[in-house]
Amino acid sequence: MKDPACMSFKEIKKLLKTKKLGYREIWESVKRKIEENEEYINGYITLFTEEVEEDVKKLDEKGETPSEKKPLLGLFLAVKDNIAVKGKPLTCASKILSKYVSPYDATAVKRLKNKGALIVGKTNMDEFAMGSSTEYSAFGITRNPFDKERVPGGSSGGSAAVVAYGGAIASLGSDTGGSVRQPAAFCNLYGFKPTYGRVSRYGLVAFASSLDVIGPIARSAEDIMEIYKVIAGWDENDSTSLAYPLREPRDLKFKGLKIGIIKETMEENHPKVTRVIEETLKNIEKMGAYIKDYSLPLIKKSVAAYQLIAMAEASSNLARYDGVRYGLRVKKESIEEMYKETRGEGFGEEVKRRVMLGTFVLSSGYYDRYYAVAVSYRNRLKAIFEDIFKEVDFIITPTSPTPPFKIGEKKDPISMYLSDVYTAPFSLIGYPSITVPSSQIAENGFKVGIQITGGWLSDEDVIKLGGLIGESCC
Amino acid sequence: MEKTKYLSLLAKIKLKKEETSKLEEEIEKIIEYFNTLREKYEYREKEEMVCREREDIPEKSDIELKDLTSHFENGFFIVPPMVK
Repeated sequence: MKDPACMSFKEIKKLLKTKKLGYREIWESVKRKIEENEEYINGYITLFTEEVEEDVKKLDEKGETPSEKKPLLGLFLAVKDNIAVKGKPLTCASKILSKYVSPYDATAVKRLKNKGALIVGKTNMDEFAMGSSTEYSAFGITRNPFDKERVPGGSSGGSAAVVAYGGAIASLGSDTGGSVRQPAAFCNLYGFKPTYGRVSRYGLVAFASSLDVIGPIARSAEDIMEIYKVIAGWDENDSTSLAYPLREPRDLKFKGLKIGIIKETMEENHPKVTRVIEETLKNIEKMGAYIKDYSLPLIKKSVAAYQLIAMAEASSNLARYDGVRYGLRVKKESIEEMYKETRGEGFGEEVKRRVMLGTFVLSSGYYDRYYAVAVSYRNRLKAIFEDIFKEVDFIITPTSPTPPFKIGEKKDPISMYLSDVYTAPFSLIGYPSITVPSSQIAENGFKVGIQITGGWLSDEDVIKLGGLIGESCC
Repeated sequence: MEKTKYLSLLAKIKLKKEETSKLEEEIEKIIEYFNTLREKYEYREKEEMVCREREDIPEKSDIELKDLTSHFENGFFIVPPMVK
């Protein structure tokens, strides 16, 4: 039998139901993986080993198996450290929140716990989710389990790395401009960004509120669907949460399916990324799908628009970390000095850069030149994609233009921002996207992430197609 | 409409000397990159601007990019009126 820590939740559930596997065996296997890998990978900031031990003991004593009421029993889950878990540290990988403990559960966490999931720990990330490599963490960098000289992606790099090495069966991340999809792709996993508003943001520390979404990372599309169905749905604590009921996915088949391709997303990639995507498309076409090409030069500017909006919102959201209400306080004579010193001491390099730029683009004389232009771009992009989705069912692009890059390779902030070039457009428009690992190895053990995006609120269909493509043609 | 001036708390960050020069250099490059958003592009055989040029965009600002880090030291920013 395969090591339980490396199984998908679907496989685990089947074995638990038939009593061929117990909770203790899964936990021992997960724990062993953590012991073997964590010192070097550094995927977790906090581990809840003692609580999990207790929970596993109780589950084994009860002999309860996954049921309709508790479908997630046996799901050992990791949670990104910007999502609140009651009574546990919530650091956002920042010095400014290093001693902060959350007094409540995020809605997504509460729903998962209620359905039987066990939280193994909180994962490392780029500070306040600002980054694409998990190099900007006050708790040290996270390494990619497939090649320890390379990054796991970011900002949910810890959430992807721990699932990749077997330190959790699945995880929760947050995606503002690609922070679930890009690390999932860099660690050969599935990662899903739901439609904006589909999953409650209550308990997710705000970075860019009009873009932030909580999403799962897992080893199969079925696992993504199982988690998504629990965390999605209206929540009275989030005024942006959508009140539409969940639905079953369409009966999707490749025959007759209309897939859109954007020419500009196939041009400036690592050659192996483009090759794998082209082969996937050929296979899909052979199975009866219809491929339609689009030219959309505007898409190349999406990172600039995304960063402008995200920085502007971040500068406002992070104003609350002033040493008065949360976390770190550097003691000074005057309150103004205390504010300045606390923020100077508590924030890392990338956070300072973004807060400064965000304030700058919102200031008088620059607001219209930068922020208003980015908002206008966002509206234009949304209108264009609304038109495109009248003609096709889904859009396929690479998730990232390159395979995982080396630690320390991207010194220039703009080159780091450009890692999000294919994920940011779909964050700006708020549509659901999944990344699916190709079956072919592109380079050094790394697969290529295939990004599938559907129309607004087509989340279930996007996950379903992700499963079909992952199983059959990439 | 008259502009509202106030001391913006969200802008307050104490910067170390070594951070200042690095941040100034990087921020200048990033702003240059943001300027690309104002270029025209082609979509479906039509040349378009992302944002229509408006005549009421202020020509000048009280903050020069080169002075940005010192503004953060002082926490002083002029915030545009909320409703235009």
